[in-house]
Amino acid sequence: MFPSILKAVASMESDSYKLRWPNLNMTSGSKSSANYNINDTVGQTAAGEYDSAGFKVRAGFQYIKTIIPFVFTISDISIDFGTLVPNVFSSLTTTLTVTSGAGSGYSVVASADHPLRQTTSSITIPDTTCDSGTCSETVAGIWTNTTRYGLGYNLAGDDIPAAFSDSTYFKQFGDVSLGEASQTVMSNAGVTASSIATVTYKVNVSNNQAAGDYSNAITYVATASY
Amino acid sequence: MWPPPLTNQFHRKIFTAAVAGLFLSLLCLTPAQAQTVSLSVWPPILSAMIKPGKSITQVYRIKNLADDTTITASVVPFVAADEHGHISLQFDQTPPPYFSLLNADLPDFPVTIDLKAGQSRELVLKISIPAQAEEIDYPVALVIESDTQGLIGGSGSQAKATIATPILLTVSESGLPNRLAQIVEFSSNKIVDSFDPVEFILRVKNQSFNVLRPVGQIEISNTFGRKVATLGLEADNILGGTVRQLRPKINPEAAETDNIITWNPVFPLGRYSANVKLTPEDTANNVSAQIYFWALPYKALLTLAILWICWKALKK
Repeated sequence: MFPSILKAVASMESDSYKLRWPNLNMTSGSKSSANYNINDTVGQTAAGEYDSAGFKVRAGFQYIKTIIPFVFTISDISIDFGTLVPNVFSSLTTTLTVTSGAGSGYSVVASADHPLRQTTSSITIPDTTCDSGTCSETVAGIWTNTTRYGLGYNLAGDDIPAAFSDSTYFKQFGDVSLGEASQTVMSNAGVTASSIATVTYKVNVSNNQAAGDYSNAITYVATASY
Repeated sequence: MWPPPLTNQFHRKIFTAAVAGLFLSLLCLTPAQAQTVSLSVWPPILSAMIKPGKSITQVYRIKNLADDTTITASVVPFVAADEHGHISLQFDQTPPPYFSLLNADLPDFPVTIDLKAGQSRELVLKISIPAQAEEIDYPVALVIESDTQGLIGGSGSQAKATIATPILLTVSESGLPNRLAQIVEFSSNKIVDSFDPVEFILRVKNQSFNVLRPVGQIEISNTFGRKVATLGLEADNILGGTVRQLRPKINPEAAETDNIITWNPVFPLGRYSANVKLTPEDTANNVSAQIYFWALPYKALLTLAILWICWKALKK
């Protein structure tokens, strides 16, 4: 299949205009759909036609693997700690996978809508500050002391921030309710056919924590880069 | 009364078989499946230059590769997150009213769609530029937010996935907006070891208002002024007014890329010059910069010196 594509690509170059990777399958099957009706021009102009057509379009990256879609997967969206036991770490993991032929890479950022909070009250389990009491959504720290409480996460695998040097380092999720920014959990500036990272959620509560179920929502935003 | 009295041999056998079957079926039960979300979108980027008064359409293919979900599609402005092409979505900003959907069965953005497991959906994006639109860039992203419902029995976190693909929209009457680049950093180590690769940092600022793609290369010359290497550069998009760190030319066949501009010579020796020349695509606005560096086998020389000192000390 590729040789014919490459031949077509090569023919779409001139002194004034260059289309290295045209819309390989942009209109295939589209015009026959019963759901919509295209009356506008679809596709991209040939060389030197900007004045008459009025547009230039590039869809996809210049990289040949641009025919691969941008795919983001979370292996398990439900992080169910069950009943929390005071002074005992509860840890669960989920896997993030990014598949892309994107020539300029990608990034994944994460944030929490609020700390773990009771559904029927405003009582919360605060985010962890780690053993040192100084880790935050931007600074990672070692968290192994079971007398330090809260919720935090660790990352392992591909394209993760360097701050997670081993499994003892944790950070807080950026708290949207406090105006904190989403934090990068995976990123790559180049081509990555498939990148996989494991997120470990860890929570620990004190004996004084009010009984009940606590929950929050973690949003992961995966974006292809330009 | 349960179990019923087993009156004869036949009934006893039936009951035993039923209990065994129930036991076996319980053994064969798989554990509860994790609730997964997986979204695919194509194309991963769209770059369009459109005249005021004109419009285009682009088909986006979205596929749900995991469990049943509900997605919400919208258009969100973005800004450069860093110097590597990553984007920062500005959910609190409103995009220009140039984006709509041509799908007859869907309302305008934001649109919510149920997607069964394995189901695909095509969204026909129309970008329509009014005749009086300002001739600037409008960097936005098509954002697909999923809302898969998971189950949490006690305390826990519910994860949500959002996927976004950038749209680099330039509105231009001429189709050739003036684009100016500035090399804000071109550097390497002043002294490099002859056995190590030479790495370069090249940061370029787009001094114009429209996205540009710098086309160019780095030429390396030796002490005698003879060109010994040419390093290709990837023509990455640079948003107006932003800086981007350029990468080496992508090998189309590579599964992964090295994002650092690197020269791997065989034992270079002496003073070298590296000259970068860039031209924003579709312009003649050339920019260039030159640096010098020394290549010496200083690690080997240092080792020899230490050995010599040790030998002299032992000799005494």
